[in-house]
Amino acid sequence: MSSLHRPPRWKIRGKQLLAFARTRVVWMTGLAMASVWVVSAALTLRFEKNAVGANIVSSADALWWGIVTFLTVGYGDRYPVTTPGRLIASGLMLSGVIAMSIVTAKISSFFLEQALKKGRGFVDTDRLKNHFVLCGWKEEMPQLVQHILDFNPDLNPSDLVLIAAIQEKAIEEFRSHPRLKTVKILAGPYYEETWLRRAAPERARKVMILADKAPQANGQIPSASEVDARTIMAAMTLSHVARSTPVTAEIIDPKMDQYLRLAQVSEILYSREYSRLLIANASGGTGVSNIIYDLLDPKNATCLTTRSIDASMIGLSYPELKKQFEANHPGVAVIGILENTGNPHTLKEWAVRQAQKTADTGKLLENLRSVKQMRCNHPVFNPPNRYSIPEGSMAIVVENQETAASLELAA
Amino acid sequence: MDTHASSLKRLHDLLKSTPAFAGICDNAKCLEALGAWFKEVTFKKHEKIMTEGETGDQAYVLVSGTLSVLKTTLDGETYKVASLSSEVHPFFGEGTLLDSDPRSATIVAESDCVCLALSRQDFESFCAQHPAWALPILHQITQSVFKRLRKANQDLLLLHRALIAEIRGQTN
Repeated sequence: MSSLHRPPRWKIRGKQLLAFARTRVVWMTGLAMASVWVVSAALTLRFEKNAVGANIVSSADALWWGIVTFLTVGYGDRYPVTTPGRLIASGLMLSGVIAMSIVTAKISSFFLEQALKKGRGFVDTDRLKNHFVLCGWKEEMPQLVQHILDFNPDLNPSDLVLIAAIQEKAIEEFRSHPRLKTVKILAGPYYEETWLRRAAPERARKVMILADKAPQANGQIPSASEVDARTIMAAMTLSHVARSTPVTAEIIDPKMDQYLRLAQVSEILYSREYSRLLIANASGGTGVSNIIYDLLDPKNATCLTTRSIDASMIGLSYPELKKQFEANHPGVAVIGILENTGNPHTLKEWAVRQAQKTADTGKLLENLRSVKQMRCNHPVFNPPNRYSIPEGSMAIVVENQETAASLELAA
Repeated sequence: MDTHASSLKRLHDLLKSTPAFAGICDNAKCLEALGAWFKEVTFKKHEKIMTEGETGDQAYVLVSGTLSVLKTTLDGETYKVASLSSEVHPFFGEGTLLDSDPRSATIVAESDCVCLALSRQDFESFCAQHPAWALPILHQITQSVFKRLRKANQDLLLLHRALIAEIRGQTN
């Protein structure tokens, strides 16, 4: 059963109630009700105060009588005895009944709306934090998402927000996988700013844009350049609304990557290019395709990954770093350095700050030029011995978890 | 008189390496007259001697200790330009002797420091009393100001070129 057919949950959250109480309508209604109460009480007191046999003779009496009447409780311990007083009482009772029904209707419609939004795959944007946003849909989406969860052990399925213009049927099928039940889905175009904003990308730990080749609503299959254009649109929007979140984007036509670079994407995936190169490589009989597969497969004990470098090792020569790093991390072989890792926005901001720290204008210009030409996430394999480890780099390593585990046991 | 002679000798040693006073160092009378206007001031370690952007009216000669020259980037981050040690007896804040413009850098004592301070009013009084002696000093200060102006003009040209290259989309 999909979430669409599940009855809405009526769990009232304190935060939601607060949000409701903060709306303008609530304030205005409350103010109107309070003034009706106070004005009626004051008027009644004026008429009753000096009447024979009256029991509303003080302000406290009048206010008490007013609220008891307004809320149609009617204790009867205080009551007006003059005709004008009784007329006001009638008006107060009537407005009380009307006000109560309006308030009840407002509260129930607010919660009904919330429940309906949830049923439509509504995501509570305000509550998202440190989540993972995945934009676009693929043929084997459930498998892909499960792989993503495998590679990010600290990621809960409920921290995953998926945005894609997909049909109910596809959502239903996706949610039928037990592991993916709690994944949040926004069924809308991921390249539109309003939809992207609902996924709160500015607070996300990462955003990934997939090359979405799924047929459109009219059944048309988008062309490669259409798909890439959407990816670029999404990346551009993200560079605007979520400057500090790292973005990874998949592109079909490698020529389009310059636009992604303009949008400050930190990592670009050339999926089609990868498979073409692998096939070409396999034709040469080098065995590289097998090696790559084994290095990428999460089920394999050996994997290719990057590891952060200790601040104390920054500035060392490459051979020295390799020696120290491998001694500290058993079962790990360093094969290169990934320069300028992280989010391009943050990185550039940092580099510009550093570049300005000179009193010499010539040096300043030189520094700023090198910032401009800086390449993010740039791999350097087996650099020459004189290469020194720059700040903000990570080690590219091949890691054998079995070796690491056995070495740890021995130690 | 012995202490007087030794203090004159000390002043001579202090000022001869400063281009602004080099011209008058060998004139004992002049040195004595100028020396009277200098006041000895001490600064504790980490104490600020002057702050970038603030106006001041004292110029200093470093007698002993070490100073840091700090500047602030447009982003508001502070960085160190240089360390000045007393070996060369640097003369700093001299611009203030001509005009009360804002300080161009922050100067902080890296260790306990002793300085000789000369205020603008005192220098002006000295100039009024001994115009002939003041001339070479003013000449030297003006020269150094012009040198800086030329450097600033060169920097401006450099920035101008870089801006044009940037707009044209060239890398160099």
